[in-house]
Amino acid sequence: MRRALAMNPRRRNSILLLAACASTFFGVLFFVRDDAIADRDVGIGAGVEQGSSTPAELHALPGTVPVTIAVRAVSTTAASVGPQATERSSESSADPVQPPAEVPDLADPDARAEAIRELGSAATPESLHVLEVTVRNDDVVRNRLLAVNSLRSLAQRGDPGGEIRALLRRAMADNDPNVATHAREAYRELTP
Amino acid sequence: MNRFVALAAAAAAAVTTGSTAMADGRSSDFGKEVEVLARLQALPLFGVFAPLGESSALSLSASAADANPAALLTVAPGLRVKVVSAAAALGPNIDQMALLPGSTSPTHIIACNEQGNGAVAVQRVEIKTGKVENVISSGMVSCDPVRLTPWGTVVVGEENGVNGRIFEILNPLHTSNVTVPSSGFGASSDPAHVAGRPALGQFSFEGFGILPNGVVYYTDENRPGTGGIGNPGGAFVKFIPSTLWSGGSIASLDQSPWTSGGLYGMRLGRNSGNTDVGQGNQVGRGVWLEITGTAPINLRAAASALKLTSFYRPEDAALDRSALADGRVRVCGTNTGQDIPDTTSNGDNNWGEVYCLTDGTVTEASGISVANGVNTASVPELHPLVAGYRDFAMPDNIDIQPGSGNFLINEDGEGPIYPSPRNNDIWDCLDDGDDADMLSDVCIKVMTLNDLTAESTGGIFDASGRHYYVSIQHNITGHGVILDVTGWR
Repeated sequence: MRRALAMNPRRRNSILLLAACASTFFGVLFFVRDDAIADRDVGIGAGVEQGSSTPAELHALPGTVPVTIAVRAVSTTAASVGPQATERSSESSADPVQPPAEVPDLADPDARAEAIRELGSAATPESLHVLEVTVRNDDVVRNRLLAVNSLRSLAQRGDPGGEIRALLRRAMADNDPNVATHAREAYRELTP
Repeated sequence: MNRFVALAAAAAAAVTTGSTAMADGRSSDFGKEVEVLARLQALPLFGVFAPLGESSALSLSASAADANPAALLTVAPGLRVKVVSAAAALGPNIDQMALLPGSTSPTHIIACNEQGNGAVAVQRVEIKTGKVENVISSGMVSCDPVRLTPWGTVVVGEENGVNGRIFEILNPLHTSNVTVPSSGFGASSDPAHVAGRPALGQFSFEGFGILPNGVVYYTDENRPGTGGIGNPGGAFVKFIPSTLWSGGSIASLDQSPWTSGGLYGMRLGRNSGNTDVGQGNQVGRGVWLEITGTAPINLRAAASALKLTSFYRPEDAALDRSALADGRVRVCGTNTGQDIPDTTSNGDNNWGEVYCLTDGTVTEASGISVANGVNTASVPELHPLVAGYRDFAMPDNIDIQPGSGNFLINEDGEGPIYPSPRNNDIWDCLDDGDDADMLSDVCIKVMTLNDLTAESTGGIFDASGRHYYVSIQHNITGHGVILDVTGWR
């Protein structure tokens, strides 16, 4: 049995579109409110490139603490996953991007997982954007694992601009050891 | 093994001492002592040296899983894991499986791949080599159940709401690359070998229990509230062929006993002229109500109209072969529930259940004697066997181990999305014994996944009870993995 299975393309696209819109919105938020994260990205990447293991202190970076994914933050049901999630949920009250009633599964982590799985087949700006949001913000470890795996699949088809490597570097600093390990292994495959 | 026995004896003595202490008034927990006893007696009761403790929190990367697919599963001491197939061509969502040409000395696995209608739906895997071939290459939506019939065909079903269909495959070891229509019951590309079975109706097929004469029990994987608050969940239906199968094999699909027959829905409650029905009555004895109409009947609509008893997403089901050997009908299955973490606002902690349905003798269960819409030939009776809990959540696939009679159950819970994620497990439950209640006496954890993105599905024993084949569905590698777990004592 798979719970979010057989998502029809129309529904999936709705989810992805909304996720992309929401991620754009929150991307702006991140840029305005937390530009230190971007600075840390540089540091994370540099740290990993210098050594084979992720420095322990990277796990403690506040920017790496997973929070509710943007698509959940804009849902009407507030998820209680910590102070940051609460903060973002309250932010969403003024969010112009509201989930349409016909896409109730945005808050469903299994539906998100299905969508993320399918993103590994085509590297479009939209898919990379959704994967980035997932890696940065999805509070479900399983979904971040799937996002890293989709990034790995995409990278195997090429990463001329280095965007995927950058996202993998970001994921290497995830506070979940499985996600960090997956990202490290994928990164090593790309840069033997 | 002697070392384990000695340890077990010593620990059993300790437990006995503990029980005595409890009688003396010191605080204790009798339930925990039962759990300890189960661990100590794991070898004689479950055929493993010891159960597993905590579920794995490890999640292998794709490269690690590809390098060693057997590592996707951690098993209890004494068990071993062998890879049947991890071929790139094996569908990523392999679900239920059947053994061919039979469960005795099987050479092949035939499996459903639970994806959309553009993907391969049914595959055949050679057990010795892992070679994969497509049987139904496209057209099915969410192929989930698969069974070998007593007349030598294979039946597969779609878990696809009111559009779900059943197809029958003749000569499944040599039928390949067939396509079926994406909806309806039009002809397949090879109608001599693959045909739809509209006589069995339509809903979300999942669990099947097929008697040797072709009578079949099946379930609708439906969630309560689908289509509106208060709507029922999944119902149980029985199909009785117009002509009961008397043995042997068929040479053409039109000889199948599933081409025509009668449908009956289960409604529990017999008090006051079978009227104590509806919400609140989901246990005990009931009646089979005749379902009438023109094939293919929308069984979900019929269930609603007839007020059939519904359950929270009925999943797989297994026929109790031991009961069958005594001429009795007993089908045990799972209602998976929903255990969304209670750290979220919609967490409901419904961890599901395992039930057993009895229906009298094979003769009674296969009879037709309809009065006022009720088939009085047999009386269905349903009781819970296992109540789920946080560590054993959302039971899905189920099989009964030949020899021990134990239930092996694939957990499909939401552990991987909990704040502290854990993998899903495979549980081993005793049947009810001679004690007064009707519940399983105890369950232990015998396997745990090492992939937070996966679930185990389709676990099935061969006739010896020594080989347990299980799929690691939608695992991190992106392709299917089927494992063979051996070492059962």
